[in-house]
Amino acid sequence: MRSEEETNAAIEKYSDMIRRICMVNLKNYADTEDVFQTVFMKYVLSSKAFESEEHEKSWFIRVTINACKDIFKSFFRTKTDPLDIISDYKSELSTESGEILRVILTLPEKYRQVIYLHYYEGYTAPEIGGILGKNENTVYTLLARARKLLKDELAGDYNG
Amino acid sequence: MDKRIKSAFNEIKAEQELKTSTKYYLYEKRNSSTKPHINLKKKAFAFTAACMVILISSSFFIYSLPVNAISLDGNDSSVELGINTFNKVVKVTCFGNEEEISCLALRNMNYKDAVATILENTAEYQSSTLTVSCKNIEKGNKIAEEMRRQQYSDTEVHCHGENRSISAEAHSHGISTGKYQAYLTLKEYEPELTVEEAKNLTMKELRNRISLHCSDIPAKEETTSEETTLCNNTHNNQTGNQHHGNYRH
Repeated sequence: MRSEEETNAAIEKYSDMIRRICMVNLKNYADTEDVFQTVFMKYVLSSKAFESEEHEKSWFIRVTINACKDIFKSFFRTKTDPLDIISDYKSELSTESGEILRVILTLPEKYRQVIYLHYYEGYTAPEIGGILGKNENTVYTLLARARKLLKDELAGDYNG
Repeated sequence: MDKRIKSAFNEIKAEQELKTSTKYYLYEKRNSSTKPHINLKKKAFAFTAACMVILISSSFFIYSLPVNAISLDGNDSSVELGINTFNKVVKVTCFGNEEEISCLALRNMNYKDAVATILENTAEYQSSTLTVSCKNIEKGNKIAEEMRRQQYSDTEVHCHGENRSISAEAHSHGISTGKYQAYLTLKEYEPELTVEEAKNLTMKELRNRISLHCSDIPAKEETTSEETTLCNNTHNNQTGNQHHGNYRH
């Protein structure tokens, strides 16, 4: 079992990233709380020794995505409109950021994940394939389609 | 576009209350997990195991506890069989002649089979006195009746009520319970009789002397219920002998 100090340090380090993944994958704030507790509980109980910071980060990403999937499998989840998710977010967002996030969140889940991991976290297609358990070529295809959808939604300013 | 997407996601931060509630949740979990927590399955298993141990121990204790005794008193030696509640021999005590008895493997035999085995395999007990000593006189009478039904030739059958102290006393003097009870009965009529003297008498001699005193008792004279029972036992045995013609008295 990991110490309280180690766990609190991980919370401070990765909570923003987990929050973003939750926004991409989940529908409401209550589910986000559940995922936070699940992910960090697994971290506390895990005796896995990480080879590097990158290794630890990718571990958190995988566990968070899986925790989000488990929430979706739950019989009791409630469906929410994407606009509600953004309005659920308690801090102020700029108009442009709000608009971009709204567009991203309207895309199917498979595109949202690759967009976040590629455009924000900077992972390559092979790395994304390793995290999501998908074939590299599949990731390339998803990224290409995601770019096209974003281009269509967000008028004219996209430089792929 | 890349910059716009990155910038949009950059504005997403985990709320402070979210971090605090997660830290508090983990703190609670840690504290509840440090309390001694025994898996319910383990508790149930431990309880079942304890019950099994108690049950097996109790069963073993009940099985091994002799509640009645059958003494076979020959001329020079005696053997006493401790009988449990299931009519099995659980204790064999020899007073002389141990070698001959020990090779018979009498433990866990039904008492009828054990007595038959002794009588068939030893010369010493062919003309012996069989005494049933029992806590429950009704049970004792049943055993005695059963022994009589077996029709062992040359064997007298008697029945006495018994308590643990009489057995303990008998064994401390090195004689069987049956013989000791016969001694106590005779002592009622011959107070000067000692245990050592009784040990040197055969069971038949003891019984004969008791019979002599019983035949001396006037019909209207009050007797103790034990004497009456014992005298009646002797008398009935003799009567039974006459009827069946299988016993020598």
